[in-house]
Amino acid sequence: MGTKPRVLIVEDEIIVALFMEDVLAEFGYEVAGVVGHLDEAAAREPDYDMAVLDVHLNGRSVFDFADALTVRGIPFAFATGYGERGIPDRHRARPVLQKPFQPEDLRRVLEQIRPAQAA
Amino acid sequence: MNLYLNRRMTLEPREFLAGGGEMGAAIRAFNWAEGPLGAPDGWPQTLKTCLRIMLASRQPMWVWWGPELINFYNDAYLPIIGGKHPGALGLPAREVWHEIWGQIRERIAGAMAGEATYSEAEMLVMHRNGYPEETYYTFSFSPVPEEDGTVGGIVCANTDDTDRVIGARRLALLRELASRTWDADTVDDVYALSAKALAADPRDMPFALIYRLEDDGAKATLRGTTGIAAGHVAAPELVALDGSSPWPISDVIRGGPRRAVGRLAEKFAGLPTGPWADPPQDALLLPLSTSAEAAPRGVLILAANPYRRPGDESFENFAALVARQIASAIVSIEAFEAERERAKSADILVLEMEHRRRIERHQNLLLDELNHRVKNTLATVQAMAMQTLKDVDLPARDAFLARLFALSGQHDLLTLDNWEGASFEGVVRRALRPWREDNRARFHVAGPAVHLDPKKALALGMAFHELASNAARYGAFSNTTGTVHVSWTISPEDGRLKLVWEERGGPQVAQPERRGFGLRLIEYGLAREISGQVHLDFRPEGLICTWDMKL
Repeated sequence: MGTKPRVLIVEDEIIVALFMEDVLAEFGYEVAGVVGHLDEAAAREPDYDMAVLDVHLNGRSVFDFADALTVRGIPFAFATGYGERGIPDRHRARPVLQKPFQPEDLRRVLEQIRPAQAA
Repeated sequence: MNLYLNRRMTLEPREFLAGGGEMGAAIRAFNWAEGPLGAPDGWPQTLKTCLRIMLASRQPMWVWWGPELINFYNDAYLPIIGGKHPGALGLPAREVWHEIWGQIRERIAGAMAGEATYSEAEMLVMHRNGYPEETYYTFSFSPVPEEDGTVGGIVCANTDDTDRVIGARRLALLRELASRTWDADTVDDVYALSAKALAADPRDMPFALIYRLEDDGAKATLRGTTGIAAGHVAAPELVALDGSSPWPISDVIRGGPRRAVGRLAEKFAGLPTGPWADPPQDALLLPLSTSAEAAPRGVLILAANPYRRPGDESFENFAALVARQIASAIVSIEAFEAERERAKSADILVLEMEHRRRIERHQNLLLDELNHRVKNTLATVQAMAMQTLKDVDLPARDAFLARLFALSGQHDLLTLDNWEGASFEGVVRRALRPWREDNRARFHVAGPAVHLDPKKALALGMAFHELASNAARYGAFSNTTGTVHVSWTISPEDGRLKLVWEERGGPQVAQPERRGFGLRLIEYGLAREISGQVHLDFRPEGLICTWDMKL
């Protein structure tokens, strides 16, 4: 189904990423890809409608990439073990998924950020 | 006419010396006939004219006449020639002023060759009273031409500049002292800079010592010297205030006014002489205090000019001003230092707070990082469970995940407080959150504020989770009407916390046949973690769980 929203998963814990892949598929999303490195994420063509961003990837924080997504107008949510305290002010309005999260939590967040035209 | 002329002639030799005060009389009375100039009757007119002018003048003047430069002077000159009078009259100038002859000889020779000179405020160390004196004179040597064009002698007008010159340099020194000590940052600076400033006036003070009274009040240490090396026999670097010092420093410190010390040469060998040919003979010791009442900070020792005018009090007055000036600088720096110390301690406080903040920030970062890893690990474990148990035993998977989330939730709670612990109520609410969403009205939580350390908080959180999930499966939450009452109290006697978990309105409860993981966790695990007792009472109307724990 070409109308499924495409989601980019930015997550360096591969098992968590696999889990998210399964959950996303279950909820009717298409996984555009899983990337575990920020360089990879930044270099990637924006072939996705939305993204879930692990806040820390291999010791680097994801906020620069979040800025890039903001500029492109691509909606996203954070997934983090830090809680909201670790999120800079400019991204405070974004939904935050507390790790570990239930599949239900992920679905709720994705629905929050899902672009209307892709719905 | 002739008679008249004769009379005039006979009167003339004495007439030109008429009047002229004491010196006029002395010259008249002097037996010139036996000297090189011969009797006044035969003196040339130019000499007579010169003497008339000299004797009539109120300015100190002398006339030196003939190749021998025979000495005449007037009343105004008497204080200058001092003890040399009256013997100096009629003597060759070279003999009268032997001590300064070398200094003026060339100018005298020049004047005798017809060349006038003018010397302004020139220092002359005169021995007019039997000892050398520092004096300053402005004087002019004017050659007196004879009728034949040769120079018959010299007439000289003098102005005594001694007081003006010495006064000016003392004022300059006080200014120097003020401007030098202005740069001081510390009290020690004041001592060192003052000593440097005193070096500007070595004529008044061939050497000077500045001692600082140490805090113990038992000794003074040398903090500044000028004109003498520290450690010289007259400049001991440490002086005990027990009266053993060659300088009466202790007397001055103990509230005495200034002290004069004489016969220095007998007390100290090899004293420096400063700009003079002779060492100082006496010295003044002055307390470094801003007023007679103020406690002295130290003692200033000023060796006095050996050539100063005896009986002249101006040096004592000057020395007192110097001491006062140094003391003021010390006192104002003391105030400044005290202010700076206060400021510094305020700075240190700020630095300490900044340091503490930095440590806290660092700690927060570490805790965040730790939490991140814990949560990521939990997320990974959760994901593995979801994957592994996807198709088997759904209730088991959910129970497992629920426990995992309970653990995770308690971690969150602790993270909020930087792992410093959590409130009892917070732990309860966080543990019951999955059930509270739908059963808000069925929970009754009440108890005083209690702080739990992280270990207890985690253990209690997991225990509440197990109690709540047990209630959901078998107890008060397994129907739609049951309620749970959680209450705790602190015993005023022993400070122990007593908690009651009471379920009401659920289905009838039966004693479980076997204790599952959850109940065992509560009964044994919790009891051990909280170093207390846990009692489970499966009463038919509802479970009652009581804890008794030490806080």
